[in-house]
Amino acid sequence: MTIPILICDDSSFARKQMARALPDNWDVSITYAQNGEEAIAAIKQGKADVLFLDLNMPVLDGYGTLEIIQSQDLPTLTIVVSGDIQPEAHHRVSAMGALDFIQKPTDKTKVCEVLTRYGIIRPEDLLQGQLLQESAAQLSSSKMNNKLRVTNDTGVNFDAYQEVSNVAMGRAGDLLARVLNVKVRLPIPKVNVLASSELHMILKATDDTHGISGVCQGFIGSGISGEALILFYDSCANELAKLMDYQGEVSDAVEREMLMDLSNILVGSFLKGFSDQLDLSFSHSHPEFLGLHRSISDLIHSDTRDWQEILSIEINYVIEEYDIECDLLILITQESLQVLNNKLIYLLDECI
Amino acid sequence: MTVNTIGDFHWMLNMFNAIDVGMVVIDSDYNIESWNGFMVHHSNIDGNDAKGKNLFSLFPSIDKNWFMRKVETVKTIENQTFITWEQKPYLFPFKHSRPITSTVEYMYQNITIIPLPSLTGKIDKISLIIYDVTDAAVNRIELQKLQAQLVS
Repeated sequence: MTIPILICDDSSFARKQMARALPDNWDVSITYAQNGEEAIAAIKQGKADVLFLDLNMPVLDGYGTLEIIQSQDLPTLTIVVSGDIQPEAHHRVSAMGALDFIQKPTDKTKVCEVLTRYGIIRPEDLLQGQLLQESAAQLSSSKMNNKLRVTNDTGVNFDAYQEVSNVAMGRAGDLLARVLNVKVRLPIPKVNVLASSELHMILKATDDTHGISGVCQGFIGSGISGEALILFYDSCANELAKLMDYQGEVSDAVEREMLMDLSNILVGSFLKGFSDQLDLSFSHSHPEFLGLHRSISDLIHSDTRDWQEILSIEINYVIEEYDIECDLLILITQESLQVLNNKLIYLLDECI
Repeated sequence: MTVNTIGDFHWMLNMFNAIDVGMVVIDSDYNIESWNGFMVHHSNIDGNDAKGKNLFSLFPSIDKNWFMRKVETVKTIENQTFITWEQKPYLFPFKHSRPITSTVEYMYQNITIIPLPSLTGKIDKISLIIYDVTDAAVNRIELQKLQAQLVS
């Protein structure tokens, strides 16, 4: 009997990844939804005996969707699939009726294990499919050849970048939450291509408002180079000092110390999460302070360099219950994009 | 520091590859024996691909005569020698490690050339240590410009 499955994620890259992580021989009809509202509509139409649900989404997020499913007692088995790996998120969705929690990036073994554990598929279903799987592999290898021709496309697939960032962001957020013993609210990473002048304006704003300090750190490896920037609102310094257990007055020295701690956690773990997924390795340069007695226009002279377009990934971390937020900005040079795009296509192919 | 076990070798290798300083070993014919993660990442040439390649053919921009004179001296005096960015801004044409907020395009480098004696005591290998001194160099250059303005 064909089972109706619903995959709900705002990223089409993530939806594809999820669809490919389903057991090969499983007789299903897949419906896709881009946010919670679409998901609820699909469930009501009976298209979702099983729902794979992302948490961070626009319009209606995963928590909101779970709430509606629970309050209206909608007929679906929900498995949450998310890059937010904080234990808190896991507990919260369990309490809201989710069957289980799968960490992104999704892989076949884990999905299969969860589906078997809850009796959604039986082990004998999987064995039958062996032969089918082999012929499918032959098919997909011919498909892959077609895809390779597209790899020369220099166009940026924002969606794929967003999804890989999403997973890396989740890991970084989880570490921050553990170190500070707080809950960190994860946003949807914003991926953009910036002209040099736009970036300069962003950094300039940091300079003019005085209230922002930052750390920047370079990374390079495997033909990819760029910079990670942490922007921190000085008004949060007192709150952060409390969290980090600093006694006494929050001097510039203390602020620098905190900023560096924050940057080490967020930049380090984001880049590790990012490079692990794409099978890259990076050297990190020593971090450098921006702001804090040092004007950014001193550091960046837009006129001295022939700037290109830059890919930016912007993540706004908010610590819940405290008035603390900071931005992580990952900037990647134009010449790196070709290599990165190929890596991302490879990542999708791997899931077949 | 001593290496007693494979375990010791393992962590030493991790350190060799993770340190934010370039390390290269060349033989007496200027062929590359080994280079660390810093060199791999900044040159985008894998350690295995670099092995056995001639330093001057990989980096044609290196002034061969000048550099050989330095290295031959190291072999003769059996002692290390230094090259600072003020003599030559860089030996290896690497991009600045912060490609976006930097004011200069290339990485300024201080180089130390170290003789590596074999078990017999003969110097048959040379090690190059590459330090990224871009920030210090740029600051110094800016300062000198300012001083010049003040004097004039």
